[in-house]
Amino acid sequence: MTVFKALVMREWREWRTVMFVLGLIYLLVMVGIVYGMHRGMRVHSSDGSPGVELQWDDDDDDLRLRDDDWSWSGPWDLASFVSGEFILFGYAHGLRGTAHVINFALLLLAMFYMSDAVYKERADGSTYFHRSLPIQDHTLLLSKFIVGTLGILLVSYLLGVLSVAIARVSLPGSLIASLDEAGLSLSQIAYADFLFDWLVYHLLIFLWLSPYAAYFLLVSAATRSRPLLVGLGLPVLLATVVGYFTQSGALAELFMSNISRIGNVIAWEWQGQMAMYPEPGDKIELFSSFGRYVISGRTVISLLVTSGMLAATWAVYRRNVVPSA
Amino acid sequence: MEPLIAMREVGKSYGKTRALDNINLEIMPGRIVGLVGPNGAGKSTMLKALTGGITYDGAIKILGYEPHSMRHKVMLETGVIHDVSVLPPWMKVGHLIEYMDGVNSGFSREACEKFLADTTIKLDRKVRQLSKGMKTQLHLALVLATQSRLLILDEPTHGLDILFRKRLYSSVLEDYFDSEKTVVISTHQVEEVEHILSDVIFLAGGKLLLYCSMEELHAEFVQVISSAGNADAVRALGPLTEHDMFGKKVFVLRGVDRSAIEPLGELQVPTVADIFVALMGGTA
Repeated sequence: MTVFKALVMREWREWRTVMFVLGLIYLLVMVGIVYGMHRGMRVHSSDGSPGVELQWDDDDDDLRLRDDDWSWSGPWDLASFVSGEFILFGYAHGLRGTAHVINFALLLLAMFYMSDAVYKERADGSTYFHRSLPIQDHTLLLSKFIVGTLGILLVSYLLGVLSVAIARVSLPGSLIASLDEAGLSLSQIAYADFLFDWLVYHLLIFLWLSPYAAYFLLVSAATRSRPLLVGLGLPVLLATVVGYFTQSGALAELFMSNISRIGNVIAWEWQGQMAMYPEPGDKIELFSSFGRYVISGRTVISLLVTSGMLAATWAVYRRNVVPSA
Repeated sequence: MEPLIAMREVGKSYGKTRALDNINLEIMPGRIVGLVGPNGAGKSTMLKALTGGITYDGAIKILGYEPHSMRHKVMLETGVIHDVSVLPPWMKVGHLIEYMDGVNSGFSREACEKFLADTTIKLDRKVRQLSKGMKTQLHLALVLATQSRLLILDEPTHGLDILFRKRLYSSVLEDYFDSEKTVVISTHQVEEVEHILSDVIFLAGGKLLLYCSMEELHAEFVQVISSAGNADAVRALGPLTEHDMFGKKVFVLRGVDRSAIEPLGELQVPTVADIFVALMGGTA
């Protein structure tokens, strides 16, 4: 366990600058959102009355915020826009959207991380140092795989929760007052359920996207240069060549359906909530449960493919391919 | 006593090139072994095989383990320093020590820091900020601070100045070596380590040319500096090499009766490099 801890710590130290930069960007975005929200509300509630003050511009049929240059194309249902229901609706969608943007950004980071994880130590020669230490190859590779999957997903989970918490405490009083007027409350949002659903969602991401993470790790161990490019290009090339010879796009479709599957699940579980116009006292769930997807045939296949990819990575790693860079 | 390293009919091919060919040898504890050979002789391949870096034909036992499948066990008691800097360049020295402490149960943090205290290496510096000599010093400190029984040095002084080279070998002798430990040194600058070697291995074309102790080497080979008048008499004894030096003839002979050649000229102990060149037919 100590060895594994040391390996994870090493990965953290190698990548922490990237994580700090991402954290900084995240904080700036959050500060920007909160600042913008408050500033906007202050401007539009300058007469002291609660709610958002809006005015129609009859000339161009646009909805225009008073004393502001913003405009949105109309026509809009003004009544629903300013209603407490709509505020709660938008707030809930904002929470989901923010969490998913963070999640997507970190999945991209995972792709970069995995494609560099083994390649980088081969490129700078430090692989010879690591191989001169009493560490088993599978322990070293597993540490990289876990940091690049569970480690990054843990960060994604925590940032998602943090965003929801920030949104909860920073919502302008004017919006809360609008909610009160409609007899609604932020406490209707099922925050505890969100913590659990968001966790299950990350578990699902791990289970279903693990083959991709393991694939990039394999590419990282095998390629002599540009692992990210090779990792992205290989499936495209393979699908093109197979498609050319078989005159069928079946392989490309298989790749695409696999990649888009997790996105579809998110959409289904999100769209399931779209008709939400809460009544006072209604419990508002940000997501449906992802639990029913966890135990599935796709999960079993994913785990089998991941195991195969990791075994191949181990075999390639032991061959000690020297990069050309 | 069990040999620390045992190689039986070990071979390795890269495509059609035979990098190692039927190597048989045993290295006992308490020896300092020099691995000598020209470029392409198979030295690096042999060290890679010993450290579990490659597969091979035949059988190798090192510290009682097969090195390829049990590399982590071998490395628990083996220190390795390569010819180029292989320490992670992005790591801070202090973090590297912490990392070693985490992954190697035989590592002594105190011993390492004590060793580094005598150098100009600071714990908060990154490896990439160190000079080549400092990197080698750091690597040596990490290796010497482990409870290893075997130290493998693969061209460790490559690119270092004379001061660092001297310091490195004196550290190996003073801070590491004892009767229980073994050092294998591969180097082109064999004259710098000759005085500390107890055994020597000559490799050429992947084959084991010679493996013996320094005592046996000095008993087996002799160098004769003779006048031109005695040259034919020496030639009759079948010298391995012959060359001119300041108007005299210099011969290296193998397995001759010294009393027979003493009257023919001045006898000297040939250097390891001279013997190697002689065995290579004067072409190395």
